[in-house]
Amino acid sequence: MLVVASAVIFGVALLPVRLSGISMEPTYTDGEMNFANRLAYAAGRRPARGDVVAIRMAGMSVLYVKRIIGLPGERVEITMGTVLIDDQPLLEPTVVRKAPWNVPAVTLGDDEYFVIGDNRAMSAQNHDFGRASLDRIIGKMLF
Amino acid sequence: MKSSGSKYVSIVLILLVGYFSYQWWFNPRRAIKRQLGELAATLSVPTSGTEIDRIARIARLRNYFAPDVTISLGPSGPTLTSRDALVGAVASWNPPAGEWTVSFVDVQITMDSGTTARAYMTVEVRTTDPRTSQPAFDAREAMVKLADQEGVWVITAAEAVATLQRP
Repeated sequence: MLVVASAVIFGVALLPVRLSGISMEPTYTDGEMNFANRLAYAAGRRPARGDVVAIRMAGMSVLYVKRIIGLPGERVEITMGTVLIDDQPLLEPTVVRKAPWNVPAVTLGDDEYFVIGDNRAMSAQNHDFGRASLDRIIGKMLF
Repeated sequence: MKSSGSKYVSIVLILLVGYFSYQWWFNPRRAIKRQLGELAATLSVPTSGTEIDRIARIARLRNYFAPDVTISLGPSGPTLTSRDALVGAVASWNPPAGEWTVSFVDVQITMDSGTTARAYMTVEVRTTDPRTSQPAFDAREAMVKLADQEGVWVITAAEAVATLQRP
């Protein structure tokens, strides 16, 4: 029974994730363990702004863990470190320090989300961020 | 009856051995995965690697690429259009000291024909940050085209795939 329950929980619902890198600091630190809840967006539920999500690469072995700041149809821009959504500044309580990043405006497609890490003190060149399609978002981080 | 039964068991065993031998040695998908695994090992740099090892590994790279291979490293990176250019670029690159481990994970192979295929994968690079001595990790998606040339699967094109599209 325990084996079956574990197989269902870890095979279907929760994907163990070990975080690597500093792009989500201070929310998550390098080497931390977490789980991606793969049922978070089941039954028609859609990702929301502020969700920290796991984004797949070619498969499930390597994932990006990023925060959603832009939703489908929105115009996202970063000016001197401040995120603008449809020209309005976004309040980001999880971001402690902001380097003066400048990212040109982009309007997201119907199934596109803008994702980024919480560590904006680092150089933008060393930080992976941008548009992710819904089919690549495999779940929401559990905690 | 007993000898007849043994005959059937032997036939089934022979068929099973034949099937698994085919799967192991001749199945194109398996041959491609084996070739990519060997390429990853060639691209990896062991801690105890000497200059002669490095030159030998660079020379071995020729075995995995077609002479007219095209390598695209994305919009901000260079595009290489021949095996000689690729080998020259690798030879002139001076990586930071220390161990490098390259691996291809989540490899998905699509056979386009009996002699051409595509492989979609995540390329992982594990190394040690020379400044902090801490383990460092990077990963990128890649799409690779291969062709069977004289019984050997070689890469004819490779390009980086952006997981997150920057504006």
